[in-house]
Formats: sequence, C-alpha cells, structure tokens
Amino acid sequence: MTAAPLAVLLIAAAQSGLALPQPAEMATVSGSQGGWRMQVFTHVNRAQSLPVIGYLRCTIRRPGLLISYGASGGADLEAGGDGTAVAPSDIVAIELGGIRYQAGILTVPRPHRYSDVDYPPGQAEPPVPAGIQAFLGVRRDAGGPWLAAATLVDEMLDAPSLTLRYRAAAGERRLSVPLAGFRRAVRWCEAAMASDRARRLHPR
Amino acid sequence: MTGFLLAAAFAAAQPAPAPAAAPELPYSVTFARTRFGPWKIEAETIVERTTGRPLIDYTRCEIERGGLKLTVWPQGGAWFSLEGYSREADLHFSQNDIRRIALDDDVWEMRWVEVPDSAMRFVDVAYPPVPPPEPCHMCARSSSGFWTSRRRPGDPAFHPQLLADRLIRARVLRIGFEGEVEEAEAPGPILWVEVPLAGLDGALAWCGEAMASDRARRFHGGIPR
Repeated sequence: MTAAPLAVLLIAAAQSGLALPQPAEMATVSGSQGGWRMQVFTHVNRAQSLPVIGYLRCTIRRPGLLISYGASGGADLEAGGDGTAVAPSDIVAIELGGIRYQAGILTVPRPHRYSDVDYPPGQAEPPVPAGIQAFLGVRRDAGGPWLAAATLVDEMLDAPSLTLRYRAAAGERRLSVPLAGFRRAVRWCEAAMASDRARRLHPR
Repeated sequence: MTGFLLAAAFAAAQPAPAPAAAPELPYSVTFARTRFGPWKIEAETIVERTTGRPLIDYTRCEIERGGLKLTVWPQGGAWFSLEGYSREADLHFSQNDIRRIALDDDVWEMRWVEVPDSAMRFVDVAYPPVPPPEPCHMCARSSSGFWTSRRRPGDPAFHPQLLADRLIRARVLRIGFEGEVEEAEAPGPILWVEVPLAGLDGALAWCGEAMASDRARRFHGGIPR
C-alpha cells in the first residue's frame, strides 16, 4: 500500500469517529553523544480511569550493540544487526575485558508435557506466553551456566571495546565495537528517564 | 418383574451422580535434592495448571547456603537473593539492612530506591489530589521500589542481578549490612558477613545435569517437601 492511499484511509477513519489505536509506548526523549544514540520510551498504562506511566526504558545503541536500560536498573543486551554484517544468530563469542565468553541465542521454552502423564488426544497446547521469547546468552566455559548477555553491562562501563565473534562464509570473523562514552550514555539515560520530558503524555 | 421395573424406573429418575472432582494439581514437583558440600540444592518443575492436565511451565534449580540463594534455569539465566542469619546472633540481618556487597576485592554500594505513586504520573495530566500518608514510625519499607548497585558515587546504578556473572566467578561473597544502634536516628555501623563460594561451580554443574535428566520430565514420584 502506498503512502497516499494509507493517508486517505486514516483521514476517513478519523472523520468517521473511529477510535484509532493509541500506542502503548511513546518515544519521548532522544539524544546522541560519542557515537551512541539514546532514546527514552515511556509506556502508557491506560488500564485505570486516568493514564499513568507503566514503565520507562532507554535504548543505547551504536552499530553492533543495543542495550535497553530500564528505569529500575535492569538491562537487556542485543548484539549484531543494526547496519552491521553480523546476524545475531551467527554470534558465537563475545570478548570483553580479556575474557572470551561463548555466546548464543537462548529461547524460553513454551510449557511442555510431562513424560508420565496421559494427555487426551487433541488436547490443545497452551498459548505461547507473551514477552521475551529469546535472548542473547553468554557463558564463560562449556560447563558453566548460561547467563543473559546483559550481565556484561557492568563490565562494559570500564572496557575500551567489545568484540563480537561471528560465523561467516569465510569462517569466524570479528567485529570490534568501541565502548568509549558508554558510561556517559547510561548516565544520560538515567537523567532523561527522571526528567519531566519523559513524563509528558502530550509532548510539546 | 413389576418390582424390578419400578426399581429400574426409580433408578433412572435419579439425577446422575456428580463427577468426581479433579484432583488439585500441585504448584511444583521437586524431582531432585542433594547437599553438595555446604550447598543445599533442590531442582523442581513449576506446574502449568490452567489446562486441566499438568504441563511443565518451567524448570529451575535453587542453590542455597546461609546468606545466599541462587536460582538457575536450564534455558539460561540466574537470579540471586541475599538474606540470612549467621551463627552469631549479632550478625543476623534481613535484606532491608544490606548496604554493600563485595565479590572478592570489588565492592558495590547497595541502595533501595522507593518509587512513590507520584513518580508514575504524567506531569501534564490532572490527577485527583492524593492525601498525605499517615505518619508511621514502625512501618515496614514500602514494597514499591527496587534495589540498585553501583561501584562508585556517580556510576550508573544497575540492578544487582546484573552481577550474576561476577558472583558465579568469585571466591567469596561478603555482605555488608547496617547493624542496630540504640539511637534510632543514627545510622548503624556496617557489619560484614562472609559467604565462601567454594563448591558453587560444582553445585551449578549438578543443577545442569539434574535439569537435563529424565527425572526432570516426570510428574509422578516427586520428592516430598
């Protein structure tokens, strides 16, 4: 569908009084510094009579890395993509602070059957739960537990760079991502999420 | 014959007996338990109960010793909580009293950040006024908030769970908590409890094997609590 017909449909819908879906998450505050781009997203909870803020998160990104940082201090880390030649599923290791971490995409399994329970034929599987279904995991050695890659975020504050090792047609290749300015970018996010600009339902 | 027919008619006229109530499904099934040195370990499946027949919602393994409980899942991830009692009565502490954690030589400041209702309000929406809370001198800490950890003043404050990799690699965990003082207004001294982490890697390996075993997929024959 081209832009013009879509615009016609939207205008027609508004004129007819149809309620257009309101996005749950709004992009509110943005910034950039030192090669990093930051964006605050404010989630609008409309379950009550008046809308309130559901949560605040801030993304910090540069080619090859995306960190999603929550106002309560939690974080998610994604690697690859974003204009690089690295597909997230091809990442085999992350090097940080002189340590090589084995890396891989981990999936959250849907509820599944016990081996010693008789299930009636045709019993429907429960729906796949909403939320994060896959995440980038790391572990220090083959025998160790897998952890979310976000556990590397604290180490990233003081490291000069992070290296992604990934599978390519010509064998394993590497992509180095500079981390200079990452600490300042996180502090920018903290200040932005605490600001009034992130708490406006109707941006100026 | 007539009596038989009357009896049959009477029986047919009775309402059908109510079906037997489905047995209540348990919240979880513990399929493995052991002690590994100082570590107490328990592995269980959490039962998905909404469809009538039990399904495995997820599997987890908990590793515990005084002061620390670590939970891991087979698909990855770790979560730890700090709370416990030492052998010395003066070193009892609750999570609310924690002010520092140290993993080997690295120390993090721990801080509870309360989130008042006003923090989740839009500045350009007219909300009805909220009456001020009643003064309360012995109130428990508000449950609306979160823990943060940071190494130095001015550093970003992350959720302590992001230290899970450091915890698993460390030789010793030390928990700094605020001790009690007679004057309630004055902050108490920071007291330290040490939790040696020797053997944690072995406990984690045991968890991995248990969660990958056939026992982890059985509903019947779980270990009683």
